[in-house]
Amino acid sequence: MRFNPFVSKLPYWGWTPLQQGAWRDGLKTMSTSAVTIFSWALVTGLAMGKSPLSTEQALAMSLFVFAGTAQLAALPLIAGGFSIGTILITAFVVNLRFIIFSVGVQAHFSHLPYWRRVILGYFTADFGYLMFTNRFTEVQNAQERKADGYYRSHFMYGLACGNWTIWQTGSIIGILFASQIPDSWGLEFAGTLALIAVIVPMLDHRSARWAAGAAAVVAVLAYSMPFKLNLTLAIIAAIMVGILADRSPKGAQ
Amino acid sequence: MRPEPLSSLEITFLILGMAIITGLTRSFFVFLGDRVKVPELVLRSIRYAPLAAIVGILAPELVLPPGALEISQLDWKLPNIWGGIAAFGVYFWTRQMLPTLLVGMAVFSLVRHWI
Repeated sequence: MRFNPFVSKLPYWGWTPLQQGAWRDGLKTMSTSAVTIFSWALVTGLAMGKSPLSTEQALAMSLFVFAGTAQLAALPLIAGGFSIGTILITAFVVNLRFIIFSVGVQAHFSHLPYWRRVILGYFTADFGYLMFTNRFTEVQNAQERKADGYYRSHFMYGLACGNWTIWQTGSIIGILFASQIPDSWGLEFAGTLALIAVIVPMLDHRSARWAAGAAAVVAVLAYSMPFKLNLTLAIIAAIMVGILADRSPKGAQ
Repeated sequence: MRPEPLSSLEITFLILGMAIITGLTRSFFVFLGDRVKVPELVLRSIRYAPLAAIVGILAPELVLPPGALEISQLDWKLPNIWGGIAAFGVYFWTRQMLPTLLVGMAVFSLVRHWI
């Protein structure tokens, strides 16, 4: 495949067989979670399709934002007339876990060019990060990388390509399918249900449950405050309660 | 009074902004490099903040009627509460999205039409 100077510059066709193999391995690894990713994407798409967003806006959000939890969190805020600033800050807070992931992306791929790392970071969502770090816990140094016949970077590209493609397929089908479902079914509730599913695994230790309880009580009690301050207050209260519960003798159980 | 909906220009900015936030958070330490060490307290806060934001959005959605302006409108006959509890239970036991959606929507619809 190296005869054509144009083709040899393209991704995949311009790669060595080892790189291609690692990429396909990544794709295959991601496909083991295809059903889970697809069903989450479908529900997110349905919720976007039934939100105040137009079909074009929903498609643009799916394709460019590519962060399901932040999208689901934004929908009730868009419907509730929150300001853009509040919605963006909320999206940032919901995405904070990615900042922790980015430590790993930087550590594992510091040998890649800067822009390639930035783009790889953008495409590294929950599934890709967890699958990569499950398989490769230790960071390789330059010598280990040279001695290793396996291209971890191309494995990661494969994970990202698989994740993006499966997610967008489910999400776009959901958005388009939503317009065929009568409004009277109340399907916009699907987004709320998906957010409930997001928080369930987070409630696995005591201080997280205290923090969640505090957030719920404050968000409801402060609901009539001006400027929709209830959400900000709920976050502050939950962080304080969470840290206090961590420090108490029974903490972290 | 219902709040003003966002204009389509504002939605465009919102989508752009959210896309930038995706890239900013996922590449945060690629941008920062190894120079900056994050204090322990900040890392602890990061653990609870996303959970708090989602619960803060969810709780009023579940217990207050759409467009409610104050908590006196809290209503236990609201279908959202029962659909939400059912969905929580199903996801807790199965960890699967589609059964959670189907049962949650079914309970929501039943309460909405018969209670």
